[in-house]
Amino acid sequence: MNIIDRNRLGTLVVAAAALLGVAASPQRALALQLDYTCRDAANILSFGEESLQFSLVGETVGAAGMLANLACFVGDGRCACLRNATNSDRGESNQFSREVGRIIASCFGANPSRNLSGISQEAALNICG
Amino acid sequence: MRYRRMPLELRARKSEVSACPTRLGRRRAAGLALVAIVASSAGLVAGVARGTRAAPVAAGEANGAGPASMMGGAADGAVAPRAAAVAGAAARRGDVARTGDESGTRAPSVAGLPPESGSGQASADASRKPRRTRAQRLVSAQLDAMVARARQQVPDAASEDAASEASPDATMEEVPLQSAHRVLAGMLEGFAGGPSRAQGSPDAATDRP
Repeated sequence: MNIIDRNRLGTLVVAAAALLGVAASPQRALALQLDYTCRDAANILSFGEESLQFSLVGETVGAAGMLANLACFVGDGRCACLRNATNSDRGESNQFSREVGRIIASCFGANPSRNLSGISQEAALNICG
Repeated sequence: MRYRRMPLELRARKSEVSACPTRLGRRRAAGLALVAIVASSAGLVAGVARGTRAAPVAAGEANGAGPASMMGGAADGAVAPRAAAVAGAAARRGDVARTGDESGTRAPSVAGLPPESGSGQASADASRKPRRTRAQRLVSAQLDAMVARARQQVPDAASEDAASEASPDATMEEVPLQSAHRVLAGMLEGFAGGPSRAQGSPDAATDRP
């Protein structure tokens, strides 16, 4: 009886620990992939496939859009300009994308591990600042 | 069986049989701890293996000369799984656009056609074939060919209704694509222009990973 209980308990412990280990470890690995670095962005712009380049565009515009949302939420005066930076019909959008490209070109040598989201937000603020 | 129903009695008997119950408890605790350590390490190894397995898959999926190889291989392994994810998503999108559903049981959604006609034909086609895996593959291949034919016929379709229903969908897909192309062209233009005044930006230090 004791042996049965011990086996059952051991099985439970094994199952719980295995679940914990399997569930916890990959999350840490995936957490590194959420934001491109400047080096990645430069490589993608230089040699990347179109699908990767579009994912770069998505992250860039998304980060700038988040900044615009925050600015509009707190009533900042740059709200409209920041919104226009991610609006493809406006001239600010073209300026914004060029500015992002320029910053990527510069940080590729100086600070290659910089995040693309920060680059995008800096570009938006450079235009609307 | 009797002991299972009467745990109190079992405890009493255990204390009678075992002269030193604390030693038994220690053994049990040591055994459990050992099992827990082995299990957690096995789980961690399995998790790490699952996490690192994505990199070679990404290198394989991202086409050798593609981004996975040009991003420095193992040094930039964090990008490789994302490349695989992007490539996989694109492939999935392509599959969905091409066949709708891989199982072949659901009708494909054709961009240029009203969904009713396609689904009816697809279900009729699917019902003709016997329900086997190979047969399903055959049906899905036939559906692929059908969708390809339908797409070719959309611009000069005989039915005016089909053409009028197709055009809004096509423009809805085209507009974001053109916008993304425009943004990408601007980024490439700025990138080709070289470094700018932003090199010494004070914000640059704040957003390190």
